[in-house]
Amino acid sequence: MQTHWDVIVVGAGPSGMACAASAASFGLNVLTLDEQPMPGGQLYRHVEQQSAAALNVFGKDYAAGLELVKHFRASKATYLPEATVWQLGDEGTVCFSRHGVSHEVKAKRVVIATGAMERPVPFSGWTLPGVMSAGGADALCKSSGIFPTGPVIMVGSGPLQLLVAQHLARAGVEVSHLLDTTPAKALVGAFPHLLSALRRPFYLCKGVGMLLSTAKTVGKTITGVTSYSVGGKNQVESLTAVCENEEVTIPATTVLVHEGIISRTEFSRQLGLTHSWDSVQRYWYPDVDEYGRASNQKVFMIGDGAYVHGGVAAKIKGELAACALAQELGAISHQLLEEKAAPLQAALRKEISPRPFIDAMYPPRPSLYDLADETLVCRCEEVTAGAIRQAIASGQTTPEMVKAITRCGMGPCQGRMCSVALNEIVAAETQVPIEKVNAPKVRPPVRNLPLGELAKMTLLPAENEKESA
Amino acid sequence: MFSTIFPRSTPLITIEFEGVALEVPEGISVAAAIFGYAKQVDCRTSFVSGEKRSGFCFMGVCHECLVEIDGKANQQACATTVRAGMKIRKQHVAEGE
Repeated sequence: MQTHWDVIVVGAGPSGMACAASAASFGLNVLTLDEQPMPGGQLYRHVEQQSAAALNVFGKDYAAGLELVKHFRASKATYLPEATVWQLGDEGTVCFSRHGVSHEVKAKRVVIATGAMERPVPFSGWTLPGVMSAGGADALCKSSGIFPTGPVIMVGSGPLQLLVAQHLARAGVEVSHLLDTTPAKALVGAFPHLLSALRRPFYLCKGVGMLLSTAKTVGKTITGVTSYSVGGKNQVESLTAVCENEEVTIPATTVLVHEGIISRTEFSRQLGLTHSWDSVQRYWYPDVDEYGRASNQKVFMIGDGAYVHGGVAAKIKGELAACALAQELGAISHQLLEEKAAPLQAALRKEISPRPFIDAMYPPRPSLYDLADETLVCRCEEVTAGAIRQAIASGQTTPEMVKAITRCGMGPCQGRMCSVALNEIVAAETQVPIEKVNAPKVRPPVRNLPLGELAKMTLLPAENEKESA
Repeated sequence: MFSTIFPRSTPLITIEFEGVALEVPEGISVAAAIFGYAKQVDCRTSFVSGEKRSGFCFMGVCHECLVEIDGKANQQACATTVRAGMKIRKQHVAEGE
């Protein structure tokens, strides 16, 4: 296969598809690597394969993704599905695994378009079969046409939770309870951002529509939930929620959890790019300029991986990055870049104008990481909050040190599910502001890889490497 | 845990789950075959405590849906597409194995 490219895009979600198609239209030689069998990312997952009935369930905004997927397919960008990237190099090298064989390729510029994930929040019983993330269950509905068997209990907070409730209702799945953890005070914090949000009234109408439709379809909605846990032997049997100092226990077989969305930063952290802390939504996001250029001049980060702005904004961010790539690699002049970017930047500003309002409406609740000592934080290595606190008390005052002592974050998921909570616990116990707490290092391979595959891999000739230059 | 509501209209293929033949639509994930078609609640045991575990995120992040496929352990069920003749087993690996 071709080893040298102008641009390699990692991820074929909204931003990756838009960036790859647009960069290719400027005459750049583009490779897109994505781990799914078809383009779309999480948002437009399997949109090419849905029946009319299924498209109706997932709604117009989902169906709209079909146009972007077709545009991407028709573009001159080379697309490799089922390709899992496991290392990025400073000088534009990309290592990926496909069908059991690993490859090394190189580009003048690398675009990271790996999107977002649901914020992982530990609670007692969260490893029991039957507990799933709401977005995850929705992804399975989209990709395979199977839906959680009702009655379903939904718990947590955020727009995606309402959207998933709407999908389930349209598919005829009973949602018996929606336990809302959104802090009641959030509306006060959101109010100053209302004017900006009104620039894009569509989102407010959509939000109100989702609230009304869930009020109609969900059996019982309980607001002001401050904590919850699930119990059971080999699977979920009950859910207990605390609301205004009262405890409610409900029999449960399927529990869908959602506590907001955060940028996926595996690759930006693996590359050692600089990040900033979002104090409202509490997550790290990479520092990028208006075109998505990160702190390493050869790397761009676009889409929700750069900041959670949603799918429509992700597409625009991808197109903006493509303009800058075309200019940097000599396909268009600086003047043409500015001409092409201006309308995109205006569209992006408008598109993201409701975001501060939405973010402030659904902030993570203050008690999110007040975990009981016996709660498992690291699902893989089964490390409890108590074990983490004990390690901190014995002098391990950074997440990296706690990880080394407790193995928190050293299992198959490589800390993806626990590092957020680990950082928060370290911050709380050591009374260091969270934005000053360094998350454990991300080291390649960022995906599990058989040693034999690594040994058999063909590397690029050494003269391309900086060290030998 | 899951019901087939809008089954894929792709041709059916035969795979093997825990030694038993199972017909599923082509193109679905191994996770969908296990939870939607074989009607399982769990797919592996924890290598630390032996507790039952099941898929959580279904987007390749949590690594809870690790199963054994054609004799190879630690395969992500949610990120693997079914193939005719594929042999899938729940994973019971102890730490260090």
